[in-house]
Order: sequence, then C-alpha cells, then structure tokens
Amino acid sequence: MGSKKVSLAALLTFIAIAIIVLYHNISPYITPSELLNTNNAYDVQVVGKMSDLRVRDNVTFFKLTDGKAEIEVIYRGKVQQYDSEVVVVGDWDNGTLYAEKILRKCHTEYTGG
Amino acid sequence: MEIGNLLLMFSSLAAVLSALMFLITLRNGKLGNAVIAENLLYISTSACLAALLLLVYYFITDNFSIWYVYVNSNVEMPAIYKLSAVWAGKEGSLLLWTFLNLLVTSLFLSAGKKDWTKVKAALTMTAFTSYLLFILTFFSNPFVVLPYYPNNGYGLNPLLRTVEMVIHPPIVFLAYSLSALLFSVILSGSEQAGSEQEQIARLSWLSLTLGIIIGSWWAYRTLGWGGFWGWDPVENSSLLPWLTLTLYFHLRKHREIFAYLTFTSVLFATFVTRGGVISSVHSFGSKYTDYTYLIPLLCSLIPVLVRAKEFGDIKSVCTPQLPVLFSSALIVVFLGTVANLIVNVERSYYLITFLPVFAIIAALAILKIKKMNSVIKIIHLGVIILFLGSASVWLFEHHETLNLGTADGFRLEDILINEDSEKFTVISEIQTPYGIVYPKYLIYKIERRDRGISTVELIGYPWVDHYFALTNFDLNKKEVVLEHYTVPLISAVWIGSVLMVAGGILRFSASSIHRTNDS
Repeated sequence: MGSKKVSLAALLTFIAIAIIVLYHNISPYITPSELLNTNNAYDVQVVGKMSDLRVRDNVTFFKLTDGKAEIEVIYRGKVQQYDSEVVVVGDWDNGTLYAEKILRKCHTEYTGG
Repeated sequence: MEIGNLLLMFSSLAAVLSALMFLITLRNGKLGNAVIAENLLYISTSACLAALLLLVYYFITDNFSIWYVYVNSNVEMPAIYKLSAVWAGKEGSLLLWTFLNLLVTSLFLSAGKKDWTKVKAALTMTAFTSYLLFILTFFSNPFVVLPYYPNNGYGLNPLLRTVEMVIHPPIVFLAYSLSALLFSVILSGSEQAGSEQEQIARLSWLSLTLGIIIGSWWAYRTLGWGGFWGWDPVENSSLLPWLTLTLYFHLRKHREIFAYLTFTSVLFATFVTRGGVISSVHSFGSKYTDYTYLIPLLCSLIPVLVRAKEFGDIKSVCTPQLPVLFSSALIVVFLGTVANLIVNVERSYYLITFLPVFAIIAALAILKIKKMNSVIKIIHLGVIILFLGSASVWLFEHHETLNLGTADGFRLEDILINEDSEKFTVISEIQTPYGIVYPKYLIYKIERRDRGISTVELIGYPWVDHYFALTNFDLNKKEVVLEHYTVPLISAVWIGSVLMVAGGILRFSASSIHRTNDS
C-alpha cells in the first residue's frame, strides 16, 4: 500500500513540475492585426499567410496576413512561398517585422504522419 | 455518377449490414449466422480495395477532373510519387486507413477457429470502420469531380516527393488498424485469445515503430522540419500510442487498460492531424474544426473508465515504478501537444521534462538487460543506443548560417542551373572543411506556390553528421547562403532504431513459429 501511495505522489509531483515547466516554455502566437496595435515588440511569433513575395539582393520581402490586416516582413534569406500558414519569428519595429526565422506550420495540411 | 463514389457507398452499405449481422448473431446466439456477416465484410473489403485501386488508376492516368488528383499531382511527376500522392492528402489517406481496417478484420476473421470472441471483435471493428466509411463517403470524399477538366494538376507538395512518403503512411496506418483490432479483441473479453492478442500487439508495435522511424528519417532529411524529432504535434501524437503500447508489453496485471489507451491515442492522433484544430484557433474564414473523430475517441475511453479502479493494481514485469515512469512520459507529451494547439511550446520544455524520464528508462534497461532473453535484449539495446543518440542530438546539435565568400574554410566552386520537363535544378559545388558537397535547390514547374525545395547533403562520420542545405543563391553574382548543422551521434539514433525494428521482427516471427508448432 505504501509504495502505491509513493508512486501516486511521485506521479502527481512530476505532473505539477511538468505544468510549471510548460508554463515557462510557451510563447503565444500573435496575429498581424494584434501586432498592428503595438509600436515595438521583440522576439514575437506571428502566424499568418504569406503573399506578395519579392526578392532583392538576397533579401526577401513579403506580406503576412491573417485575413483582416497585413504587415510587411523583411527576411535576410530565401524562402519559398507556402500555401499554408507560417510562423514568423522576429522583431517588430514601427510597421515592419524583421524576421529571424520562418517556420512552416504544417498542421493545417495533413502530411501523412 | 462517379464509379469511385458508387464503390464507397457500396462498401459502406456492406460494412453497416455486416456490423448489424454480427450484432444479430450475438443476440441470437447462433454462431452459424455469422457467415452472412462475414461475407458482407469481405464484400465491403473488396469494394473498398476497388475504390483504392481506382484512385491509384486515376493518379497514374492523370485524371485531373477528380479534384483530389488535381490537388495532389501533375503530369510530369514520376509514377512512384503519383503512388505516394494517393495518400498525401486527408481524403486518400482516410481511404487507405479504412481499407486497412477492413483488411485486418477480414484476415483476423478468416484465420483460425471462429468463435464468439471473433464475432464480438468483428462487431467492434465493422462498427468503427462503418463510421470511417461514412465520413469518407459524405465529408472527406476523394472522388469529388470538378466541373471542368484541368490540363495539368496543381502539383504535389515538394516535401512529399520522397521514397519515404510512399511507404511511411501505409505502415503507420497498418499500425493504427492493428491497434483498433487489438482494442476490439481485448474488449471481446476472451482469456483464451491470449497468444493471438499478443501477436496482434507485437505486429502493431513493430509497424508503429517502423512507421515512426521512417517518419523521423524523412524529417531529418527535410530542411526546416526540426531534425529527426521536432516535437511537432503530428510526431508527438504518434509517440503517444507507441508509449502506451510499449508499456502494455511490460505489464503483468491489468495491462488491457493500456491496450485500450493505445487506440484512444491513435484516435487522438487522428483528431490532431485531421481535425484542423490549429487553424481554427487562428481564425481563417474557410477553415473549420472537424470534431467527427471525437465521437469514437470518447467511446474508446469508456472501457478505460470502467476499469479505472484497476489502475492502482497494475503490476509490472520490470520495476513497480515502470508504469509511473511511462505515464510521466505520456503526460509530458500529451500536455505539450495540447498546449501546442494554442501556443508555441519551446523545445526546452521537452528537454527538461521528457529527457530525464527517458534517461531513467534507459538506465533501467541497462540494469535489467542481463536477465533478458536474446530477442528482448536486442530491442532494449536499441532503446539504450537510441537514448544516447537522441540526448546527444537534442543537447549538442549546432547550427550556423554561412554566407559563402566570407566563411572560413568554405568556398563556392561552381553554381549552375539545369532544366528538365519536371523542374529547374540549381546545383552548387561547395568546398567545405569536411569535403565537397553538392547541395541543390529544386524548383518544380507546378502551379502551387510552395514549389521550391532545398535538398540536404550529408557528410557523415560515425560520431557526427555534417548536414548542408542551400537556402539562398544568386546565379549572377555567384553567391549562396548555406545552412550547416553539426549533428553529433545521430548515427546512434539510426542504429538504435534498426535494432528495435530487428528485435521487433524477430519477436513477431518467433511468436508465429511458436504458434504454428502448437497447432
């Protein structure tokens, strides 16, 4: 009986720790419309669809939209335009999002997993 | 009307009638009546196979008036990828899964002695598959016809044009179907079905393990997928049934709960990958969340809840703490996956929570490995090596983005562009401190906008992989941007995986030989 209680206590403690760790390791996704309400924001993760892709001298420019508003993104590097949603990680400074990373959001499109 | 649709409707009707007949047989108590149900099941299976083959035929013959073919294919694509395109989308893969469900049920029913256990298990399977067929026919139909005939298809996502994607989905769905069968057999509650049950569980574990490994191999070779394991919801949700099924083999008493939970996890995975939960959070007008898979998911929880009291009496063949360890791993992955539906979950969460649990499991395997028989030893040795590899990759992987021309030791020797009927290929020749690599950038001549893809070039040593991909190029200025990953001990991940699969094969074949000798 004792060991059962110890096991249960261990499991509950672990879950509690996991939830605390999880809480400290999440960052919310925001949308272009939410971003337009602020002037500066650092290390944000913006989710949206890409459009109007242009490349000049190794720098990629595109627009990111959530269907309501769109913002201009600058990225040093090449990206292909995805049909699905992407997450742009970067800094927002006076109307432009300077991207550090562009991540594919594969979940909307079933990828066979 | 489209023939494919007729076949699907016919298959659905036969499946529903089959389920009804199994139910009537159970009520009547006359085992002989099951013959009608059984034949209806075979009819349903045949019709579903015909529908699947018809879809393959439409892909091979480029019938773009079928919307699903139009979206996932184009004329210039090699035939092998046209085959993989059959299950590249939601509708086709559901058709594949449904067929595999019917197939395993048919094989299970036709093999060996027919008894009440089989009737009960077949009832559960046909009822569940009827539900899938219903979704397939009315909500997720691969045979929707376009009102016009496009000259060429929209094109398959370049990411999915790999050999892995030809075999990965059938193997994973086979595992999913087998876990449904395992659930049904155990639910039918026969004690004597022990060895049969064990075989289904072993085959299910083997195909799930193999499927996940092929998936990680694909992810590793695909730039931007976060390496061999990216803690992506789709990857995570296939890990959940793997964990429950693995724990199932380690239990002596009340292990059934974890066989039930395996199927629940499979349905959870289905809900996550097909439900479109993610997009609904981010409110795009046309997207909606598909809750249809929640119904079987909740149903599958009923036997778990009924036996919930037994959780406390679970006995492990290993240490008594093993169920707690595995449950911890399960909860960590489940919490992370659910949280990821709403917010972005950092990889560090999994490193802090999952990795220590994995370490303890690996340590336990090391402590106990001496006492195991040779086949079990191979599997556990695989787990230990897999742990070393994953820990090394997760903790010590290094990434740099290089602008060639400025980076020391790296030099662009040549860059040129080729064209064939299917695509443009930018080929670069780059001198690195580790040797010459030829990373390419492929641009497919297809309508879809995500038509470009970087190929990954590897220079592998036993202890480290150097991983290169071209992400930017200027043909006129002869400049490129190169991504360079240093991946320590990734080979251990693959060696461990191969050992686990090899052990799984030996274990399954040993049990089948044993069975043949018995009978």
